[in-house]
Formats: sequence, structure tokens, C-alpha cells
Amino acid sequence: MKRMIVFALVLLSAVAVFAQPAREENVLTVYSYDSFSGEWGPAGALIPAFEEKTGIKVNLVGAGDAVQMLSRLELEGEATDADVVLGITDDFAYRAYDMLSPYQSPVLEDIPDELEFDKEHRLIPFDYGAFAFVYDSESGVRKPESLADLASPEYKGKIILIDPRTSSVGLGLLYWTYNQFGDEAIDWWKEVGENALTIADGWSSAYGLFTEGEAPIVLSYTTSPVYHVMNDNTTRYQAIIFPEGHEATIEGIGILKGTDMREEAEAFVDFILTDAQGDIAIANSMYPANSETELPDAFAWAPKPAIMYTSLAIPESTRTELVEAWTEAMTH
Amino acid sequence: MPFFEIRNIEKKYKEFTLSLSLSIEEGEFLSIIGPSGSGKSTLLSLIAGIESPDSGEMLMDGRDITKEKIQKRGISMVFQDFSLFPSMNVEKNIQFGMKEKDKAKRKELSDKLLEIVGLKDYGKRNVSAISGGEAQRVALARAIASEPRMILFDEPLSALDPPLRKHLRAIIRSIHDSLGITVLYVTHDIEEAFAVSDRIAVMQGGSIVTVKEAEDLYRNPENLFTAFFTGEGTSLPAHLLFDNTDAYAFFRPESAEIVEDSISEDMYPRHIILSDCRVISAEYTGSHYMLGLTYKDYPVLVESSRKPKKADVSVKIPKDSILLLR
Amino acid sequence: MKRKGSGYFILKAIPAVILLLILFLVPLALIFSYAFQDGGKAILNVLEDNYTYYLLSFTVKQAFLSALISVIAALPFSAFFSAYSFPLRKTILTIAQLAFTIPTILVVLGFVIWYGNNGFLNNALRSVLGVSYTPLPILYSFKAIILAHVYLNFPIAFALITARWTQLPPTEENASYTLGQGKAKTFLFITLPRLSGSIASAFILIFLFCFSSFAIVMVLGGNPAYSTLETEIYRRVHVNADLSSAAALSLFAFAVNALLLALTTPGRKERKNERQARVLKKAKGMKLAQAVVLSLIILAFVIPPIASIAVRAFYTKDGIFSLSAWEGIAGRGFGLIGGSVNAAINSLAIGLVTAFLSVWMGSAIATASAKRNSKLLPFITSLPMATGSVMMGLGFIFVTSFIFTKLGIRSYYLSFLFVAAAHLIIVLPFSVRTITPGARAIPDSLSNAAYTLGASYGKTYRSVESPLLRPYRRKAFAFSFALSLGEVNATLMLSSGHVETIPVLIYRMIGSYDYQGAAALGTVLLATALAVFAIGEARWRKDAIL
Repeated sequence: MKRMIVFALVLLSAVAVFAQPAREENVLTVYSYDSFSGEWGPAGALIPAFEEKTGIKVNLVGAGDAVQMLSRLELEGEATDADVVLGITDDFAYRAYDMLSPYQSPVLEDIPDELEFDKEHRLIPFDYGAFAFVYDSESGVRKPESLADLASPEYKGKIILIDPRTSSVGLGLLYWTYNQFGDEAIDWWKEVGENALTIADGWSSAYGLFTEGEAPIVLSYTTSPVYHVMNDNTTRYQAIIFPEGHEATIEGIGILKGTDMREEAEAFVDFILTDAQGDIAIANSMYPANSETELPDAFAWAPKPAIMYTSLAIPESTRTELVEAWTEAMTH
Repeated sequence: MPFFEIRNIEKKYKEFTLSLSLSIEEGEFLSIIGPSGSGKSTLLSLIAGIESPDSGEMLMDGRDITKEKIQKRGISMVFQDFSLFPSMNVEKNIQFGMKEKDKAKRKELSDKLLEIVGLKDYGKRNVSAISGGEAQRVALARAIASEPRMILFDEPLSALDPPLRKHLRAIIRSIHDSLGITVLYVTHDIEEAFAVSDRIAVMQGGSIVTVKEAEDLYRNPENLFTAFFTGEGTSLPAHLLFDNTDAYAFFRPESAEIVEDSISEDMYPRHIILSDCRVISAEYTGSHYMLGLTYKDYPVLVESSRKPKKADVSVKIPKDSILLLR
Repeated sequence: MKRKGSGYFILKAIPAVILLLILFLVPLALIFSYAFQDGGKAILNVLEDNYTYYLLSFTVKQAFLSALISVIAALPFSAFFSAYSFPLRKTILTIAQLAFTIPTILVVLGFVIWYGNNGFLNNALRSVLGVSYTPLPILYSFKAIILAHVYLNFPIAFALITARWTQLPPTEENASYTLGQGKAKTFLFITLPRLSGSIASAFILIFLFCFSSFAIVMVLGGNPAYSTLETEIYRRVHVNADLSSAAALSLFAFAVNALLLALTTPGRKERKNERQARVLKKAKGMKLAQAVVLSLIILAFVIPPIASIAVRAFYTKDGIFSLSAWEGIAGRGFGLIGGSVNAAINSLAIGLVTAFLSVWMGSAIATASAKRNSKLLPFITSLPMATGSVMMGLGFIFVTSFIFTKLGIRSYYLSFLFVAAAHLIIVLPFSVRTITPGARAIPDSLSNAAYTLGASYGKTYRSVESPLLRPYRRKAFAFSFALSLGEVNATLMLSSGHVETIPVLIYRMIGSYDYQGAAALGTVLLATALAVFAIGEARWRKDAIL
């Protein structure tokens, strides 16, 4: 009997599947990473707003994390359904360029030049952030003053780092140290690694350890304090700005070459670069790319570094070598 | 035409081959005896359809059932470990194989069967909460309830204690008699086989040595193996008694008699006399003594109504009760 | 030896096997084909790289120790739980399985909250001892990895071994005692061999689980030197986006695991007919005291980390009672109360469908392999465990991408189905491994008795054999449901972000800094699991015969 019920369930859902219209025409398909497209992501409010404003229907597809999204686009090649892709980061931009077509958006003039991906504007930045160390100002630990300062013995067991092999944040730090120290980056890791309580697999667990008080310093973003100000009403957690500069991460949006809905795609890009900027910044805890965007007061606790590096400058071969050198140095 | 016939059936295993023919008459109670490893249970598995033979055929009422499905053969089986279904109570176990569909009639039938096997009002009991003897009676009732053409018993009583065995074998035989059903009964207990069977088949090393009625089997065994398997006895190299042969002389203990006075062969021309035997042991069995003697270093078993007073005795055996066997 | 009706049972298992082939083996083969691009250069690279062997040796070491300790730790508890009955016995068996339902990230969090240098345990000790250093520096070391793995996997060993042990009447042990042998020797030479099947089953499940673990290894190990093969596979897929080298390394890991599986998959076993299962003795006096102590030890081990999560949902880090997390779940942004209720319904629906199907398929495969004495079937079903979640995830992406793009079918229901199917593949090895010992323990004569009474294979299965599998199916159901409830990776990859389950929301909340909210949702997850287990126990107890 039990079995019959299960069969019925499966059968029902199968029927429901094939009863769906196979493919809707005149729908703009947008690939984005999961956390953007989910019900809880910024898309939950943005897409209906866009559809209402323009009358264009959007099919938002969550395609895994940013790297998986890229892999999927590469896999699908020209057969892809996607008209627009949202969320390609600077470190993988070079792999996306060939699939995208340039778009000279009128909004570009409100976007600072230092965020620019490529001259042709195949990828257009829509938000950005900067990696930074965040510290607990009530823990009694001295506020570190530079990357090099973190190697000081007083920070023994007080820093939570993130592994560049498994996390884009960890990789960001690796590029950061490379941009700052060049080939001596690995030495920095060795020294600071000694001080690290742990080198976590990803940002989520690292930051969780930090808020549970396991260590007073964690690798995160300059924007991290915003959440605590807005939701916990505390300024206890503060991002530290190092005068030598910070590694930035830029997220871009682009229009696929093979799109047959060019006009609608452009409208969507413009929407993301204007009306959507505030919501995306808050939801992603990033700075909006459009400098005209108004932000909540809490963003005052997300100081913008004066100097920002991007990994766009680092050649692909160097990146691979960097991670390999890191692995060699840290695991042996 | 026999009711059930096995023709040149063969089944090979790594270290054992079963190869035999056998026929059973309708309504017959046939027992199969033999030492463990002789292939008794394998034979039942083949007949029931649990396993299939490599070659040969089996016929029931002249119809070939060698390839017939286990479920369609109409041969039910009672197992040594009872094999009651733990997921059902006693009554449901019995009703499991019934062909009757009507619920009330099924109930009526199972109640009747329970009464026949002496387990009235046991219907609702849990099968793990009844004794071994009760379990086997339920298994018997269950086998009958499926209205089989033949019932196979695979050492059904060997897990039970002796008084219970005697009681249950009587039940099995009386049910056979009143239903007239054909029974194939495997046991390693010769007394049990003698008590219940119409005929007895002896198996050794995967084949059937002989098939006979009980008394005939006891009195006229075909060979030493059967002789010793069906009861006690003495075997002596025949040349010690006769001068013609290299066979063995076999006699049962009750055929021989001890003589404490010295006697000569001339006084008993129809007997063989073993003189100069030595009494080694005397076991009292309740009705008589079983004496263990030696004759020229060979062991000799003799039944006697009294305990001998002397240690050196003679044994006298009627010539016509001595068998020459190999 | 093949058993009567093996053909029928194979036939019955075919749908399950076909589903498995389509959902798992085909995409896997596709992915592995990437390893052979450029004439297998990627594979050669993997085989020639010392780093590969470095990772392998650490991976095997930690997995072996985790499995060994989990099994050894479970034995004394199983011994007692399979011999005595006492109040709350079943409840404790159930609670021990709860750890299974929580997504890894929350396990890590729970561990940190409880065992952390600034966690409950150390803070309590600090105030009792009046010291300022960390009294119990457990985390961020090799032993923390083992502790967490044992925490997660002890329930598998405990449940599987207890289930088998409960079915062994102690006759052979008693025989050994009467021969003057002590408890230790009897256990070593009599009981242990009798339990070997379930011990091996538990060991291999745990080993494979830990083989592909990496979040726990990295965070709690505290040292990049502690990294597993899965770490490197993850890097190649998610950071380097280098499919062919990732596939090559996966293939390597897969080969190692598959070899291990092939060696340990239970094959022919002689069966003994045991008419009666062991009757549990009622624990009285000293034994009852012992029961209480053992139960408390289990609870003291299992409860604190998960309870920490629940407590964290109600208290801020500063120890102030606050319902803000719950208000957060209920009131944040875009109609989220609908969101979390919906997620709970999704989790429950997917979990139940997955668990029912996995028990059904697991029973079919377990009985077929027992009837046929097949090693192949359990081996094939266990392969998903040998694959590692990163590669599985990639395989799922392949399948969905093909269906979505090439066939142009796209719908919410399909995503839903995919998620359930993926969960099914993930939980099936557990289900098969849990039910197989039960299927093997059914005496042949019982089935044969039914056949000679004219019952078909189907009827015999339904009314005679299947009821004997019930306790095993119950375990399998609990495991499957719990695993499905906590699953997050495949759900995220397959649903294109459309099917939101509770664990998915937990990840989203953590992604937006809301750890307290995540803890609150984790509590909802635990409560859901507990409720389903409780209902299940109540229902089963009613119609249980064994």
C-alpha cells in the first residue's frame, strides 16, 4: 500500500513536469549564481520590479556558484539558453570575454573607471567589494596596522585565515599578498600561518568561528561590519583599512553573443546598473558600482580603501603557480 | 504405474553427487534413512522443487514435474526447524497455503486442523511463544491445510526430546492413515522409521541402497552397511566360521545365545559355535543384558536374559540366522 | 549458491538498478571521460604527482582512524542495548541518529560553540577552575577531526551493530562460557566473528564518508597540512575550473574507494537458521543503573553540540535571551515567513519521498543480492559513496544542463524531482547496506516453506520475508530521511536555486552574516527530524511484530 502511494506521488509529479509548456518564447534568460537567484536573494524583489517596469518576462536560472556558472556556460557553448550572465568575478573574467558581446551602456559614465573590466565593455561591473581583516574591538587585541603587522607574535592563535585552495576569499587574500609582496607573498603566509588559529575551508565557517569568539581577527570584507550595525546594533566588529592597499573583487554582468533578445538584455543590464543597485549592495554586502547610488547610513561602517588592487593584472600562469607554491609551502 | 516416480535423477556438487531412482505408491508412508551427508535432504529439496536436478526426471501420476514450479507441485514440506512465519500468528500460519478463499471457512478449517494436532484454541498465539513440539504440530497442520498430494518431512522430530518424538510420530502416522496422503519421511532415527513406515529406503553416498519393508530390512539387509545401519550386530570374517569365502558373517545379537558349559559342535549341527569367547562388558537394558564379548580378538554382541557368571563362555548361533554379507 | 526465486527478485530490483544507472553511472562516466582528454595526460599527471600520494596517505589515515574509533566506541553500547530493555531505550537509539540531520556547516558551528576555545565547555571550566587560559584545547588539531568524524558517524556504527546483535541468540556465547572461557575471549572469538558483517558494513560506510570529508578536516584541523583528496578535487573544480584534472584526480580517488568497496562488499555467507531472535532482558537493579550511565554517556556526547545550536538560536553571544533570530526568520524582507514554512514543507516532502523510495529500492536490491548471493549489486549501489560529493555535484550539473538546455524542459517540478533523485542516489548506499544483513539473515527454509505451500515469490516476500526486514527498513528509513533532510550541496546544484529547503536557507543566512538565524533554522530542522522519528516510532511500535 505504502508503495502504491509513493508510486502515485512520483507519477503525479512526472505528469506535472511534462504538462508544463516545453519552452516559453520571449522570455529573457539570465544566469546568475544561486545566492542571487534564490527566493531569499536580491532577485526575490528585483525581478518582479523589472518585469513590472519593462513588461519583459525574466527567467532567472541559478547556476551554482560563480565558477560553476562559468563552467556551465562553457559546457553549453552556443546552445546556451542564457541571454545575460550576472556575477562573473574579475579573476575569471578572461574566460568569459569570448562568450560575451560588448555593450556601451549609457550608465557607464556613472561607474568609476578603476572598476572597468575591459575596454570593450563585454563585462560591466555592477558591484564590488574589498577583502579586509575584520577585528573584534572588544577583545582587547591590538588593531593590526598592516598585512606585515599580522605576523607579530602577539597575534598567535588570534587570526582566522581562509584556504585559497577552496575559497574565493582565501584566493583573494593570496592575490592581495602577491600584489603587495610579489614573490615574498608565500613567506608572509608562512609567518602569519603560524599565528592562525585555523585556516578554514571557506568564508562561512571562518566568519562563524569569528563571531563565536574563537579568535578576534578574521579575513572577510570591508563591508562586513554593516550587517552588525544594521541587525545587531553594534559597532564592535570593525574592518581594518591598511594604508598599503586592499584586494578588490568586482562582479560583472554581460550579454551573451548568441542572444536573440538584445534589446531586452540591454534593458536588464541598465536596470541592474541603476534601480537595482541599492538592493544588490545591501543583499550582497558589496559597494554599488554606480557611484550615484544612495546607501543606508550603516555603510559608513564599511570604509572604502584608498588603494585597491585587482587580480585582472595577474597573468593566468602566475595564478596557478601561486596556488601551487602556496600548497607546497603550507602543507609540507 | 507408481504414484510418484524418480527416474535416474542426478545432481552434482563439488564433493558429492546424488544419483538415484525411486518410486512411491499412492498413500504410502515411505521413510528415507541414512547417515548424515548421504543426500536425504538434497533428495527432498529436489522433489519439493527447491533445487532442480542436472538430469533425470520426476513423474507424479505419470506427468513429468521435473520442470514444474515449486509452487505448482502440490508437494508441501515440514522442516526440521519448523519454519513457522514469525510475522503471523498460529492461525494465519495454517491458513497461509489454503486454497479456500472464504474467510469463515478458512477459520473453520484451521480450527479443525488445530484440534486434530491437539492444539485447540492456539489460533491466536504468537509463533515465537510456543514450544518446539507445538511449533512442529502447527507446521504439520499448515502443510496439510494446503491440500498437498504429498507431504515431505525433513527430520521433523530431531529437534525435540524423545518422549515428545514418540507422541508426535504417532500423530503423524495417524493423520497419514486417516487422510490417506502420501508421505515421504526423512529421518536418521532408525527406530522412528521402523515405527511409522510402510517401506524404508536406505541412502548411502548419494544413492539408494535398498527399499524394503521394515522387518525385511532388519532381517535381510543387503550389505554390511545396511545391516549395521538398521540395528546392532556382529560381523566376523566368514573364513573363521566357514572355509569357502572372503565375505563377512553377520548376525544380530538376539539370534546368538551364550553357553557357559563347554559344548561341542557335534551336539548342535544346525548351529555355529564360537568357543573361547571372553566377556568384556554386560549392559543391562531393562529387558535383557547386552553382552560384549571377544572372539579371536573380534568383538561379538550377544543378547542374554541373564548375566553370565563365568568370564569365558561359548556362543551358539543358528546357522540359518547368519548372513554372508560384504 | 543461488536461492529459489533469485530471478524474480533480480527482476524486481531492475527498476531500482536502472534508475541508479541513469541518475548516477551515466553522468559519472561522462565526467570521467574528461580525465581522458589529451590521451590521459591529466591522469598521468595525477599519478606522477607526489602531492597526490601525500593527500591520499592523510585521507586514508584520518578515515581509517575515524571509522575504527567509531566502531570500537559503538561496541560496548551496542552490547548493552542489544541485551537489555529499559525505559527510553528506543528514544536514545533515535536521538543518537539526530547528528545526521544537520548540515556540515552547522555541525562545525555546534562543535565550535560547545568545544571551542571560547565555547560553553571551556568557558564553564574556566570559571570553575578560575583560570584564563583554554583548559581543553580540543579544536584545531588532528584529534578534533577525529572527534567530529566520530561524532557524526558513531550513530551508523551504533545502529547497524545493535540491529544485528539484537538478532543473535546468545547460545554460542553461552556454550563458550560453559567451556570455561572468559567474557573477553568469548567476545573476541565468538561474538565478534558473528557480528563481522555489520561491523564491516559500518566501518566501510564511515570510512567512505570520512574519505570525502573536507570542511571538517580543514576548519577543525586548523592546519593546511591536514587536507584530503576531496580538498584538491574541490579546488580544481571550483577555484581552477579545470575539469580534466579534477576528473583525473576524482577517478584516482574513485578507483581507490571502489577497490576498497569491492574487497569489503559482503559476499557469500553461510546462514544459520535462528528460529527466535534474542529476547531482550529487562534491566533491573545494577543493570538498570548501568543502562542509565550508558545512556547518559551517549546523550552527553550527542546532545551538547546540537543543543548548542538550539541554545544559540535563543541567546546572543553575550548570553542575553533574544528572539531576534526567530523574528528574523519570520519577518525579514520578502515575505520570509512564507519562505521558511515553504522550505520546511519542501524539506519534509523531499525527505519523505527520498526515504520511502530509498527503503523500497534498498529492500529490492538487498533481497535480490541476498537471494542471488550477489556481490555486484551492493557494490554498484555503494559506488555513489566512493565518488565524493564534488564529482557527484558536477555529474548532476551535467544531467540537468543536458535536460534543461538540450531538451528544453524546465520546470519547478522537474527541479524538485531532480533534487529528490539526487538525494536518493546519496542515501541509497546507506539503505542497501542497512537492509542487506537483514535480507541475508532470512532462513532459506522459511521461504521454501512458503513456496511449497503454493505461495508465489511475491506473496512470500510480502507476508513472510518483508516483515522480517522491518527493523532494518526502519533503520534505513531513519538514515535516509535524516541524510536527505541535511543535504545541501546537491540540492543547491540541481534546483538552480529554485527549490529551497531548510539547509539551503541556512547557507543563505550564513552567507548574509546571520548565524543566529541559521542556528534557529537548524533548530527547526532538528525539531522536524525529531517529530518524524517520534511519529515513526509510535506507528511502528503499534504494528511491530519483531
